[in-house]
Amino acid sequence: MDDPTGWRANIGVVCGAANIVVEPEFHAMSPPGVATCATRMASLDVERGTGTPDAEELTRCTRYLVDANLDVIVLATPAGCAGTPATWAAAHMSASGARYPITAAAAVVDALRALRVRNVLVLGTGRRDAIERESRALADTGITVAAIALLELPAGAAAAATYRAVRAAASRPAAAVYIASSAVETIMALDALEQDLAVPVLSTVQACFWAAARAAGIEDTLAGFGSLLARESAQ
Amino acid sequence: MNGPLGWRARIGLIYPNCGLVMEPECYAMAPAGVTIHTQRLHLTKMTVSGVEQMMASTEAERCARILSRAPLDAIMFGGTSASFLKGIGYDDEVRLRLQAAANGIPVTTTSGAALRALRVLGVTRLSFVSPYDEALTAIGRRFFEQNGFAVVSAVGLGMHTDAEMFGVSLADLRDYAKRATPPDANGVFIACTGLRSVGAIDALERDLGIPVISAVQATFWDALRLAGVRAPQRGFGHLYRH
Repeated sequence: MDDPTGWRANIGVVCGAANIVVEPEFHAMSPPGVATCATRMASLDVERGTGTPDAEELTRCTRYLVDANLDVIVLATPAGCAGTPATWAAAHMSASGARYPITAAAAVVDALRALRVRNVLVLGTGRRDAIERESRALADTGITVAAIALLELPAGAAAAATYRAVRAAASRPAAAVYIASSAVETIMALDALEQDLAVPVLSTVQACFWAAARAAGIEDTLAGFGSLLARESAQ
Repeated sequence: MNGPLGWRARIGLIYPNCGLVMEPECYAMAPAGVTIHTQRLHLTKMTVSGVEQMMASTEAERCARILSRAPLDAIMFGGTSASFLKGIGYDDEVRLRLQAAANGIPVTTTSGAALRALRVLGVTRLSFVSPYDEALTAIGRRFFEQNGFAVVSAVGLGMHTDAEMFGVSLADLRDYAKRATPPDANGVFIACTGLRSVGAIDALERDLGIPVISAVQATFWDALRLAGVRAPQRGFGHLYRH
């Protein structure tokens, strides 16, 4: 009798109302015994790169997941889309009872540091001002943003489309590429992109899962989703 | 690297906030290309008054509205007692409420799905197995009797929280369902989407020699049907081979 539930860890995820990427990508990366428990913020339209996670909505989502006694809760929204400092969201989630609140912005910074990357090309979807906010948030942490570019991809774009768009946009030299979007599929393209670009390639959803799994004590070898998840297990 | 991930169907889920079971169990049963997308609603306690309070508010409709902003093919209302609470016809009432709020995206409820699943498998004499207290178990029994089933047994574990239910292992559930099912039953319904079940269904059907339906299994089966996905799946009972 196989038990597919989260008998090792349950990861709570808050995503945008229209998002169709975060939950299946978290599920795809989850090793046995790790499950995702999700909910959505009505006020956040990540797909268009607009909206702000207002306090009331973030409180409601966080409290609902806190009541479920999960191992960790992550706000899987790029900082640029949220339009608010990561510290604001993390503080608000803590005040709502989350023991281990994780924001995408913090997860990405931790992931870049884990990979010893200090210079990154930021590629986003949605609006350019959202990508610029994302880049400023990274720069505030001491990471150099080599350049930013907009990926012309619709919400929910498949990993193959993301791969082609990133290849086309990643012509400038940088020590790593960060795909700042939770609105398009990325994780199935990361290995191929790292091979072809010869630099680490991270994405919002991948970094969020990595940070959440680590916070929940899960450090399995996870092949197929980029060097971040594979590398961590080798340490 | 095919894609997008939900290339075959995207199924929404409205689920009580403390539930830990339905998302991973649905993914376990999902054919390739089917994804699940959840919105949670607040349930204080698994009691008659707790479920009444949840369903008296408009939060379920709000969940449906939020989910409808995603390109979904069907929506599951993952609550058994919340869709049998008011007796015969309540499952349909909840379904219509949510479908209207979701701008017409097809909706199924757990109790409505269970009725369809039991009928498809020809069950007439039902063993009703639940984690509920006595009052909710009695309401569940009455709902299935009103819908034409002879309920030969109805038992509950007296649990009031998802945390208690999550402590019930598949082995515990298998023992419980076997003990609770009398020989004259020709089908079992394991109620509540907060209880692990799908990993035990095949074993229970072998043990008992009769069809076994669970809340999570039936709801997802019906949602796949609504989304036009007809993929037989092995390992999750007769229903998925039907």
